[in-house]
Amino acid sequence: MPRKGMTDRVLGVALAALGLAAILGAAAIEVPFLGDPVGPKPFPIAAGAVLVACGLLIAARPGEPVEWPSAARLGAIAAATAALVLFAVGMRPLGFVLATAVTVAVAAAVFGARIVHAVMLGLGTGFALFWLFDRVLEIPLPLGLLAPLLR
Amino acid sequence: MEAVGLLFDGFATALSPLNLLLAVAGAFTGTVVGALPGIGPVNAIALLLPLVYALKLPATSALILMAATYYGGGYGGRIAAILLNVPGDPSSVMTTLDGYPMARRGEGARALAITAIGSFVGGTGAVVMLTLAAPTIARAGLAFGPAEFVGLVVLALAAAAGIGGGSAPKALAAGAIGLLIATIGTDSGTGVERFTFGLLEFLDGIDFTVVVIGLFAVAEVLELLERREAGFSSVPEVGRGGLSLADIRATFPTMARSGIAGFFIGILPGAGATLATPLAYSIERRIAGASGRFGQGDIRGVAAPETADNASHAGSMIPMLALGIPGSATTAVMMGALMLYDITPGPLLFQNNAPLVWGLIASMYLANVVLLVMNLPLIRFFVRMLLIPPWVLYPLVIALAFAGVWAVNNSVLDLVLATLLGVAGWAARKAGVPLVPLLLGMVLGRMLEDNVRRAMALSDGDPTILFARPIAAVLWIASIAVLLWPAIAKAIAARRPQASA
Amino acid sequence: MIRIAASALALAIAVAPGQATAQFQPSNPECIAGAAPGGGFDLTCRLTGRMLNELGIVQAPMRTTNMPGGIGAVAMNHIQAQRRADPNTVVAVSTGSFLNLATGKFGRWTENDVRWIGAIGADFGVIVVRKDSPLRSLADLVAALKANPASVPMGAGGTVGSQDWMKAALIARAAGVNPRAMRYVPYEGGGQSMAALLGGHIQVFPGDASEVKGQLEAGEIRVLATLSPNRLPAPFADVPTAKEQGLDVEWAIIRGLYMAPAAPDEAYTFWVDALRKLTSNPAWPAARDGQGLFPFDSFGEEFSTLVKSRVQVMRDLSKEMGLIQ
Repeated sequence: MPRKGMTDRVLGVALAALGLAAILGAAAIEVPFLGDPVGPKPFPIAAGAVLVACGLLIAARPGEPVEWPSAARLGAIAAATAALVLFAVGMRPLGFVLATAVTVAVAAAVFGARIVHAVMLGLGTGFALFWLFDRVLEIPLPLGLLAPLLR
Repeated sequence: MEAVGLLFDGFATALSPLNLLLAVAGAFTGTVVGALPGIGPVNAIALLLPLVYALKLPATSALILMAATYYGGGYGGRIAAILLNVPGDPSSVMTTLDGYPMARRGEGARALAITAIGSFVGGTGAVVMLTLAAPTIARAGLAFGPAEFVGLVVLALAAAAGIGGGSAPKALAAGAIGLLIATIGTDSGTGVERFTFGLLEFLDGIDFTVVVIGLFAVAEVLELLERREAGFSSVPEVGRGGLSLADIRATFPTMARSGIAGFFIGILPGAGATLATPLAYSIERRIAGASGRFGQGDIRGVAAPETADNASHAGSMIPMLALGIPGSATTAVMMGALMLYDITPGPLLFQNNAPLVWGLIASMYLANVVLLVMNLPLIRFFVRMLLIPPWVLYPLVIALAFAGVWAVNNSVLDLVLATLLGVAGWAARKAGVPLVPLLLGMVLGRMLEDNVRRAMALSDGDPTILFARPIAAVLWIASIAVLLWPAIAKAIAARRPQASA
Repeated sequence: MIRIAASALALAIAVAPGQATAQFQPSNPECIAGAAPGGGFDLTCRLTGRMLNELGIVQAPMRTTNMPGGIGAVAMNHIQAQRRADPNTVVAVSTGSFLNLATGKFGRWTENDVRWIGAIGADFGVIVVRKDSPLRSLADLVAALKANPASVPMGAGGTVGSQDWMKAALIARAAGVNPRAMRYVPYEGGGQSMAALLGGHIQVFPGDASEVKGQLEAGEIRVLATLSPNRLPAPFADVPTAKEQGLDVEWAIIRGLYMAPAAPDEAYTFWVDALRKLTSNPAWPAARDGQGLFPFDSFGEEFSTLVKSRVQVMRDLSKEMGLIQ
């Protein structure tokens, strides 16, 4: 399915666009006054310029084609990613234990665990890490929904 | 020699049952915390600080505990880097380059053993140098100004060119992205915000640890997931793969060079392990040249960064002990501990608190021995980790990493960022973009910009300051030599064809 | 290490409802440090928390949460968004935060958006040169700045516009020199700045008293002036203040606590009293010294007024120096 060099063409254009955005963004920085002779702009602009040049070079001379995973495999990767996003977003409302449990369970399932095992691993990890960080290391973690239980 | 006598007294202090116990406890805690991705020895020491104060431990004991923890961190970081390709902090990224290929070949135990020995050699060698000449060396380190730093970073960049594979434009692009990430936050030279997108969380810039967790740990797990789906076994062969005396002999020059480099870089305030490890690795890679298999599991490729890492930890104690200047985040916390005990860290520390200083130095020797003795037998246990089914192992690794990131910063944005970087890192690897140059761009690019701008501020915009000072000039010449080395080596080989045959 | 607090906590919860107004006791008290573990905010939280527990002022164990970013900006945002009425959480604050509040770096939050509890102590700015420097007094520095502001490279741990820069800028301004003409080199932290001073890369280091004490005792540096209202104790006793030398410049690095804007009055009163009790306890001076702080008593309404006036002064200064519009 992948056409020869398509990945590199897309990648090159994306890098060049990122570089251009960096250049424009840096150029637009308003400096109330110069604290040093160089200022905040030259380094990001130079990095942006390197990106543009490299991006164009990559797009112009694409290398070997890249085999991207099939839809099914992409699904597994998307599920794992979603589990991680859930951890971030769920941390405050759900609390550390449940957020960890959900994330670990989904990740374990994606790695082929049976559902029961995945859930057990998730809950076990959630409580164990909570104990390690919150109780042993005394780093407070969000209690969330389990607040009455953990307190 | 006077130092030897004082050190002897120091051993008497360090060998007291309490201090010995604390050194062992610290070494163990440090190894564990260092092995956890996300949470590092700095955090562990900061958490210990109020505890030791509440326990009313004597100052010497408190410092011994903290130093042993700091040291232990250097031993712990390598485990996940080698076995799982998951570095927990920026300084163990270089260890993955050859450590993971070795583990995949079933040589995980060999890689872990040589790095434990390298850590010991680096740590102990550096403490010997500390014992003999701390005040003198500390003074010499002060000569290192912004211009010299620029030279050192340029040397590191020159030596690092080509690391991590990938085509030149792709590697260069990765480095440029790293530099751009480093510019996020409040610009120190002018106080303006760069690329913060109005997010308060970006004011201090992006934590390197978050980037490492995302680009390396998360991306690695996603890649494994994909390969597993493609029918790839994620459990490499454990194998025998012990360490032989020949290995130690073969890597000893590497350890010696990396230890010395790490030690001296550690002394410089503001440099430390993040500069020492890539420099040591790159130099060894250059020295090995065509004879090396760097990047494919060369044993010198794991010995170099781990030796440099531990040597730099010992080196960074020197400005603290001899001058009362914290050169790194960790030593800053340790100095805070001294102040709690009403001991003013400063040039008079060696004079006014000799028993404390020498007790600490003696405990560093002990901590290294303890760590080596503790780590070698544990290797068998560490390697067994790979026998854990992947559906348990990888979710656990990710949970530990994310819990660590959360516990340190309590930032939802950091977690989202680590996830996004993980996906981006996975895609980048697929597309053949190497990520190590990105990390180097971030770490070295930041140092380069800061110091170029400091130097130019000092010279009022005159760029000759970058080359005019003798140490800087030497570093520039060395950089050019490193870049031209392949050509020079070829010329030498061409002139003496028999010598190599 | 392991919290043996379950019973204490249960007690606190059980006691709280009965005597809510008379004797509020926080449950699950927390101190938010707007910086990574190990910094000034972190020490404020961890040590104040320990002391409050040890002295029995706060019964339930106080714990510290780190929320680095923008010298307290991220922590402020968190309090406003998640804990607007939390009676159990206090947040560490310093003059660095006041300055960022003044320059609008706290997003849309201002000094009027929280309840100021009180100060635990203060450190003071100092103007430092190397022992062999030709500058022997503040007058020498002023003369050198007047002759050629770019001839005196200064450096410190903060960015342009930060506290450290402000100290230098105020000296320059008092000398009649445009602060924009100064040559200021930002380093990462006081340690690197001290190294740069001792190495001769910079000539003047506008630092804090506590971080230069060891160097002063060893005779490595000369302190030209302390930016304090009165002389500081030894080893600074022989160092004249800037005011004594005719320059009206003061810079106190105040450390203290604030809490959520909608926190109930009884909780606010409790925390204000807690700080009063803490700072008047005989065990406190040693703990405060350990944090590198000098006494600085200001609590409740008085502290609130103080903070608001300081922030306003800084806002005016920042405008004048062109840092903000």
